[in-house]
Amino acid sequence: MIKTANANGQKIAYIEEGEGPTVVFLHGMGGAPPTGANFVASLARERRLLVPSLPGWDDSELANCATHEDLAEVIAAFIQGSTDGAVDLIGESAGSPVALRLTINHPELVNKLVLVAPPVLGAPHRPSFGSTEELLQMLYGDAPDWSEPPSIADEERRARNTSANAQRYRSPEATQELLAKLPEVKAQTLLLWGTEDRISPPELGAPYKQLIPNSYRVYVHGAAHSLPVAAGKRFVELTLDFLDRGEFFVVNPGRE
Amino acid sequence: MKIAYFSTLGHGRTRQPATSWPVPNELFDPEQALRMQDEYFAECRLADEMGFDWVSIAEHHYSPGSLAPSINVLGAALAQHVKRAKIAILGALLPLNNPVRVAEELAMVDMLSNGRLVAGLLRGAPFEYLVYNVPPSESRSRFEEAWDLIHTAWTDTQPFGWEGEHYQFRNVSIWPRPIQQPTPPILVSGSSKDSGEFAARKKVSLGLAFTTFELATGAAAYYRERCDAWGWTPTSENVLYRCQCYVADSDEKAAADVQTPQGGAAGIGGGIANANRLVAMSGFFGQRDANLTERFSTMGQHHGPPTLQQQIDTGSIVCGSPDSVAAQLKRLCDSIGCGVVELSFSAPGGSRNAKLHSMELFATRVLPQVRDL
Repeated sequence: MIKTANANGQKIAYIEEGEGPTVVFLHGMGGAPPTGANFVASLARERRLLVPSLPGWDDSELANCATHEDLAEVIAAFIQGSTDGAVDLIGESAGSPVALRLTINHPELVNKLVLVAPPVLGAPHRPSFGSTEELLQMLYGDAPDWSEPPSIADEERRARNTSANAQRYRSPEATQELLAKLPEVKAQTLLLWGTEDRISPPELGAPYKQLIPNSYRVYVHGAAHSLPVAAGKRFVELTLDFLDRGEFFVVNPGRE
Repeated sequence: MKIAYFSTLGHGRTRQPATSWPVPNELFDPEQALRMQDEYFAECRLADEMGFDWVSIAEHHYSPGSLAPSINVLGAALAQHVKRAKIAILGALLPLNNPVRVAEELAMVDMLSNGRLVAGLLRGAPFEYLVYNVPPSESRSRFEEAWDLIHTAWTDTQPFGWEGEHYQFRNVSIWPRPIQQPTPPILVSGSSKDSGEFAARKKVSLGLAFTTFELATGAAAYYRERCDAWGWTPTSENVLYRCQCYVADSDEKAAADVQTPQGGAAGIGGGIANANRLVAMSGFFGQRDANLTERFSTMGQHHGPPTLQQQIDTGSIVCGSPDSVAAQLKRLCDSIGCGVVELSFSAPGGSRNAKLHSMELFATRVLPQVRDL
């Protein structure tokens, strides 16, 4: 069920599921995940999951937001209004720059950070999407993990979100500035890419690993761009393992 | 045309005939193994001095036919003996090994050889899947995932983890990286359509072995067709064809020599054929390559040993006088379009002298005729 909250005087629509330590998931350009995506319920079995729609996406008010920094401030207020302490934060694709800004500007709000297929920084890259079918293939790949494919309403919502927001945050200066700020990320960070991602190609993601101090990077073999849907089970397992074990994530725990 | 000298570091004859596979290693003779090893490296050095372009080796297990199951170890040793020719490891069998270890070892061999490695990344023959308990039905998907992991390990310059269907690693950052950048020349085997498609998609070379002239011609044509579909044009040197070779002073002498029974591990053919049958019928080949399942399932059951002429016609051997062998290689080149031929030099009756003479005839009288093909 979609709820609404007031953050810095703006209406924010969000999904809340599950109980336990809070995880906030910041969606990509298409907005909140398709309704059939299994990863939402899977994460919510272990965590209290909040999926706010960013200002200007879905039913969240844009108000005066014009930069990733603005979006991060509204989400920071949303987090402060939703929990007592810090949260674990996931940024998917276009949600990653917002998650990074929030983590850098409000380190007290973020325990651990997970970036999923963040956009290319510091290299020229403009993916071409072709037809709707080709775009869906680039997003979800051959074996998406969903209980049902995106509905017509889901697809209309995705197209509307993209149309409204795609051009708004494409500032080369902001991109360069974010690149320069990556060393300021204090939280332990997990970086995830699908090896078949042609929207944020993994081979162009090296600066994130180079510049974020306590970061771990994992390639998910065969997965397309929208990793939480394209490889939902592996996304959830990796994310929870990282959130549970932190730097011990790199150690094989053996059989339980 | 480039010529690869292929030879196995074999044990030679066993004190009792080896008749099955796996071969009981009670037949292993340490002194003989060391003697054969000395001869092997001497022959590889000779091939290098004679002007062969590559010296190539391959991974095989559990028989006196090969004392080099860890093929990269042999590649490292070979790099110290062979000073000029490329060291072609054809190849490491990806689904049977830890891919990160393979990436590390091949990069080491590239370093130890001053950047002369040719890396064959292969699935292996069906029977090899009885060695490390790898499910044959997973061979294709393990191979493709391992290939991607190895390529990433060679080319990605920041530490990464890997979450795949078959392989999971949380820390990969290999040292050394290959000397040849971004990667050594890569070759995959391509007798099946799936393999040809894979080689085309990855823009790497194709190796055709344990096949026939006719099937290889079709496989090479399919590979070129798929390369075109993937937007690139391979050169002739992107196609390797492998067969046996024996050169004598005349056609008659060559024919007479190769009729002599083979020594060494020749007696285990039936055991390997049976192992191949078991694995082929357990899902080793995909649906698109049902013909290969049929071929491996019935291999050796319906026909007697082929005649020499049949072997020449099917391209399993080039054999005869130097002029005849040159003509047979030209036929291969014309039809298959292979710019590299890998030759396994036969030793009729286990005769090392005959093998060395064959190599010398090839180097002095065949190579000059085929070099510019």
